[in-house]
Amino acid sequence: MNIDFTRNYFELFGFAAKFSIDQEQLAKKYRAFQSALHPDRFANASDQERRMSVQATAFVNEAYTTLKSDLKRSHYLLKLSDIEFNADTETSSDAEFLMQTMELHEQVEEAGSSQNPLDALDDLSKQLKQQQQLLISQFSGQYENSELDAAKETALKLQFYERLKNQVRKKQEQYEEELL
Amino acid sequence: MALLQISEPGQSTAPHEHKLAVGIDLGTTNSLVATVSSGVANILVDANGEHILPSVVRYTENGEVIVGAEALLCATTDPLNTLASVKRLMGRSVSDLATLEGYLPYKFANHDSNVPRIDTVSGAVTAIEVSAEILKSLRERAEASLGGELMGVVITVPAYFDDAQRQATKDAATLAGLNVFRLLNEPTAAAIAYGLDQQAEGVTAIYDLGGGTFDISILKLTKGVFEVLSTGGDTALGGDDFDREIAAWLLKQANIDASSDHQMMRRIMKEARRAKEDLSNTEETLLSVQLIDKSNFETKLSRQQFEQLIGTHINKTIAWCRKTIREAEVEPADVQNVVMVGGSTCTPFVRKKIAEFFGKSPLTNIDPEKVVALGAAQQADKLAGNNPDKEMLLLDVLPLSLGIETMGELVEKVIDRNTVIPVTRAQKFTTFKDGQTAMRVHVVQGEREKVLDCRSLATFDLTNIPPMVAGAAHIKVTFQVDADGLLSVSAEEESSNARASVEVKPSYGLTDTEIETMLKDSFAHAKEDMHIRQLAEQQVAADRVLEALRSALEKDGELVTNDELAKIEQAKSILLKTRQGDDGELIMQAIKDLEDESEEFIARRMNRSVQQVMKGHKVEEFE
Repeated sequence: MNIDFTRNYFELFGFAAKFSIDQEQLAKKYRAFQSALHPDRFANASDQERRMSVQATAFVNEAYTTLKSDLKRSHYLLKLSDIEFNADTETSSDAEFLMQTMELHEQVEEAGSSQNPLDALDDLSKQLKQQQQLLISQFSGQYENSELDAAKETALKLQFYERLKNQVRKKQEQYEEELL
Repeated sequence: MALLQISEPGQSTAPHEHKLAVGIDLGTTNSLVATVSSGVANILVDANGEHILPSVVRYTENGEVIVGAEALLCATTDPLNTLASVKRLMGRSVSDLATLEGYLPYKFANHDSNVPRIDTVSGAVTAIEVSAEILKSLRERAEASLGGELMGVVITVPAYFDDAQRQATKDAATLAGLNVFRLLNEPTAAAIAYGLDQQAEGVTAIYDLGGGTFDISILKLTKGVFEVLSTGGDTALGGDDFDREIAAWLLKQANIDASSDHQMMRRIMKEARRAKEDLSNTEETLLSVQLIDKSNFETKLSRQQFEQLIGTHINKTIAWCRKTIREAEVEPADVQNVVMVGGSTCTPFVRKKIAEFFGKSPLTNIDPEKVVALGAAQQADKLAGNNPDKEMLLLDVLPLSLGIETMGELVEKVIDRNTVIPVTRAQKFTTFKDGQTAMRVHVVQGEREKVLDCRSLATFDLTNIPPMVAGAAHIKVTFQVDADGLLSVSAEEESSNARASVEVKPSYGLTDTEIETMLKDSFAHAKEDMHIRQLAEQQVAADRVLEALRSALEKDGELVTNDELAKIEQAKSILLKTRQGDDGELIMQAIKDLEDESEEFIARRMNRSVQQVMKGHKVEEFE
């Protein structure tokens, strides 16, 4: 018998399946789960109990990580609503947005050749975060109004910004490594 | 042989019995062991009153093994049999040796195993066996000073240690006969020593500059939860570089070239080291070196000059701090505490530059060379259950991403670095040929995109896949990383529910068979001894299972059905009976039978713990 973890992540943490959740409550509950289930609690127990505690903690960790991140939580909500979604291969079909993305890509390249690339990339990263914030509130509204197709479109855009942010970060790391 | 003092198997042990547990800092250059007594962590000293055990092991012609200061004395006279800094070899493969050259001037034996073996007069040894000797020596020291067998230990490892390196450390502990409660990250141990785990909330930076390695870790503490947000560092940067800078400067001042004169080089390095330590307390120091013509060359070095010499090294550590802080997604100003670890942080310039960067004075009141062992001892004490009232949550993260090899020798990440552990992730695979019944999966660890740039951890062969058309089989491979950061893998064909068998071939570590052989070898001189040892181990394991079950039934007896209880009681009485006998194998089987019978009950308990936490919340928010 395995531990019963059929319930979804929102149920586990006592939330309604909505985008906006109380992060403080999430963290509090997470600590309570860890206090009860973490393998360190079973340092003197049998191997059997330790194995189960690893499984249980791993599940709680996964649930917590998913709910904590805006991006992961949006993907998870779409999945719960049976919306097919592959963040790695699908892209938004919004033409205007696609134009914008090309411009942003150019900006990343340009930042690299500016006088102080680390600062320029920092600025760009901040801009991207702001854009994401806008999209996140958009997603929240769309999901609550059951506009699931629109919500998916927004999630794809969010994913694009995430990828771009990672690119910026990689570039930053490159420059930092040159300084090392 | 002293056994765990348990009054009667299956009976409760005395409630206030203090269990013997220690923390071990298994360092590259030095090792330490510490324990908590009367609530205070102390370093345990050897018969001569020494705190530090040099991590040096010497093998002699007549098969003798010498550990510590005595071995260190022979480092120059018997260099090939006196092994130091083997921590750098832990979890490394034969192919890694080239990159480690210069650090480890040993003769390596040709061998078909992946694990490098160092040739000594008494045979070839692995880094794991050498480390086991150091651990054994610390164990003996602890047991002599505490007067009993250790119940368990906490061993510290660098936060960036990968799976192979952690596994190697655990294997060394197994060989030394130690029960490992937990492998603990060194920076986390340092923070515990300062009591930062008792603070309400905060971000802590642990700056660890040793003799030859530098590590920076950013930790976040929230009411007992201890997350490692990010780690960074350089395995070839440390206080030894300061010595080298002074030595190079001295050579230039004296206008001599001593690169071919090893004896003079050693003298100069020793003088440089002395000068460095001197400059921690004075503004200026006098350096003196005897030249070939026996004349003495003398010159003064000021603290300011010294600081110029080491400036680039310190700046490098600051650059690492900046990078690691960015990865943790915090700002330098968010860091509330900066903890100094490692002997090289005694250099005032290091402290000054760190204080400048973080905008606050670092914590230095605990000896930076002992702080890791002291923290490990506190954690060991808590895990042994000596301190039941104290909150002891301690969450770590995976230091390096885990991935698998895909087409074109590229890496597909399965678990990202800095994911909180324990963690379980499943990855789906399918067959690409009709009737394919086997498949090979290559697991790697690291951040780079190409397989060659990452560390190969293991190859898994999935066999017994039911023959189907190409793409029809759905094989779910589950990766699980436990609280120590150790990986295990299982696989299942989903459509047929057939369990594909997984055979692990570690790329770096020892196979289970190799470990078993080593264990047997270490008792080869006395077969009888080994039999007794095995029996004793199984008896201890039996007692632990019985005790755990007793306390589980006492707390949650209502969760077991009468039918289950009858079966459990039967299995229990069989185990109690076999435990009185002298057959280790039989005891092992009886333990397994008892565990099988109690499986459902234990799972139900775990589920109830989950339910209880869930219910700690207002019900109306559920729907």
